[in-house]
Amino acid sequence: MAEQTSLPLGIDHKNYIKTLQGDGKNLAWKQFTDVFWNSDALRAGAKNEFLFRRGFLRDKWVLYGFDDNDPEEYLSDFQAAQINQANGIYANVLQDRMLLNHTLADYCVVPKIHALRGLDAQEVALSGEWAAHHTDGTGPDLEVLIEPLLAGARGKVEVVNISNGRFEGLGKTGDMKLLSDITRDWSKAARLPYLFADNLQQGPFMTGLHAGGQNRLSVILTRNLDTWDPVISAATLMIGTGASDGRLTLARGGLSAPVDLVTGTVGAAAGIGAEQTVERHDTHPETGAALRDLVVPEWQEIRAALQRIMDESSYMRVAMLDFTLLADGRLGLIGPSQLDLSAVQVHQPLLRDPVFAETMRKLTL
Amino acid sequence: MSTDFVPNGSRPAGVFPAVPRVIYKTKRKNLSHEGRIGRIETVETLNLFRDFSHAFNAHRPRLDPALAGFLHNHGFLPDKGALYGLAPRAPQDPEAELEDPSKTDTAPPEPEPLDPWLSDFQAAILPLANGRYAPALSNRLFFWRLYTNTLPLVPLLGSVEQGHLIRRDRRAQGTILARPMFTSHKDAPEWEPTPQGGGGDRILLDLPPQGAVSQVTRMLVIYDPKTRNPVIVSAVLLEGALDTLDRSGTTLTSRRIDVETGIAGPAMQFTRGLPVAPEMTDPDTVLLSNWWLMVRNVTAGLVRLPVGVVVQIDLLRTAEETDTVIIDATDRIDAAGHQIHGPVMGGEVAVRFIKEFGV
Repeated sequence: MAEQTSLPLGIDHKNYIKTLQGDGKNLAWKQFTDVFWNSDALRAGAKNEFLFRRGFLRDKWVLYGFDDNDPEEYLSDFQAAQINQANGIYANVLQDRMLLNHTLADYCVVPKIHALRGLDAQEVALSGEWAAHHTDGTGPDLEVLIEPLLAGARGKVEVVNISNGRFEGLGKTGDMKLLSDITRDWSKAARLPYLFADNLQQGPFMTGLHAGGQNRLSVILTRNLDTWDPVISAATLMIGTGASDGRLTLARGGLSAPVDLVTGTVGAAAGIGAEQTVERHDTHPETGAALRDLVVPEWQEIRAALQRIMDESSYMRVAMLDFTLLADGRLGLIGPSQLDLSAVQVHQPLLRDPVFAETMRKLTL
Repeated sequence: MSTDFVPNGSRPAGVFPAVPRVIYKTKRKNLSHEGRIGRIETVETLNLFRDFSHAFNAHRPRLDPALAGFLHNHGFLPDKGALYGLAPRAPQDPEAELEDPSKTDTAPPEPEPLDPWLSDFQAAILPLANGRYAPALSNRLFFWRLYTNTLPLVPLLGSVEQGHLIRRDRRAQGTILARPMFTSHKDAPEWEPTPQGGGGDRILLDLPPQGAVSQVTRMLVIYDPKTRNPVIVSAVLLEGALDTLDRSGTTLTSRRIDVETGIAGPAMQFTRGLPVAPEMTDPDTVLLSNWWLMVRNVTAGLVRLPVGVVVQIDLLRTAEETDTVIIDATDRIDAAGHQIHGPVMGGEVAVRFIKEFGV
């Protein structure tokens, strides 16, 4: 067994960045340098060059505590941005909400898709309810989430209520034709396709974390490429605050709490404090709701469902997904994860896990 | 803020062109096969052309050079000359015609116009028209996952991947059909799950009990760029053992189904890959009792989940003949199976499709 433990942990980031190859990687490096030198938050001073050469952004010195911790155990920002590309031609599956919605329909609750506005700005009705609202307004009442089809695209995200062929939301009310015209303008202006789907309501456990918005369970699924077994690499609860306003990243004021993969127990939440340092909270800093030692309800079922997703989808190598927990304890799909990996690694460096590190190495990420 | 570092490739403008034109960059006026090969320039189409060219040159016995040159430059494999009745037009000699008007009666009939035929090279590049959704139609496992609640697919039992058997929670009710996971693999379907590794990745399907003769209804479905609805441009009823349906050298019987009425025409027998004209074995027509059910099931599902623009779907009637299930879906079009009855790309929708996607 001694040979097994001699597997190198972590990744030599300096060498990795030095030997980048390929058009995609070069383009990503250019984007990384743009962001790096234009960012002013959490300046690391003389450590700039150290971070830059290893593909970390400036705020990571403090967030990851590189004064004490070894950078080789952390997935760099440059690598994190390319995780989805490791899926090759199937990267599209994890960006396209429509594909993901249909492929995961057997494993969790997926929001019903009502319509798609394509890039050529045509609206296609995909459900009977939507068509009924358009023709004579007879469909049932809907709460519809309008999002860009592709995750990661910087478009508008809005919720509208639809009843009797009229919509209410976006600060106005009107008939379906008006909604159609508004979204066509969005779509044309930003050259983005938009998707209209049901807005899932989070259950009491999620509401108990923070009531003022949708909290998320973000998971990283991967595969042991030797045994082909599915692996859940991390599960993190992203919790809103008054400041975060729906964008659940640490930098925007959100909190992240790790979930124990075996028991489902929630650990202390981390957030960025006023002094730009990491603060740990056992309770929610605003509401005082207990966070630490909560147990995610029905965790064993959730865990089994997540493993089945990965087991039966061999085209995925690494999947980052966002879920909510519904009132009956089941998983509800939110979509492809836009998780900032610092929310995971602030608790536990990802490359400390030998299986994850080996997978990343084999995918040459 | 530093957190706005967007992953590479998530910029929609580049990855989601409105119309993925395959060879012709603009809408063209005519559908001639002339000049298509001259315009090949992308890596994907060049690779496909190399495969086509190798397949053409590997064909034995060799054809007469004039016919071979004609077929190759128009993108047809050598066997299609006799199978479809294609031949270069005889050189025009207007003077001779004027001198001897009676000659027109004895002259051989003019060959069929070439434009409405789907050439083998065209069939090979058709999957590229699916654009960014091409992976959804070239991986059967993914197709089964994607359309599991939308189309009447036969149940998926599991898959064989990289030598690992992945089993779903389901017991086989009928025969197990193993199909290659990727449609571009050239190996033929097999009946038994491959042992460790073997011939590549497979999906395992649970085939329902069926009648004595296996009749597969094969549909070629394309999207009409104008109405954005899936349209069945050709459907045939193929008779033959399921596992050898697409294998070269197999003798098959094909009946063309009239899409409007569901009447299957006379049975034509042909051998895949052999340059022999098809032979009529049964002049009678057959009425497919559940044709409308098949059409409704397929088109309703494809309307709900509009992914890709060209797909070929195989359906099998169950023993009770009341219901049909989909046993295969692929982006590789069986051009010969459809076209031994005549060209398929002559219709209005097909012409619009070819112009829109530049194939």
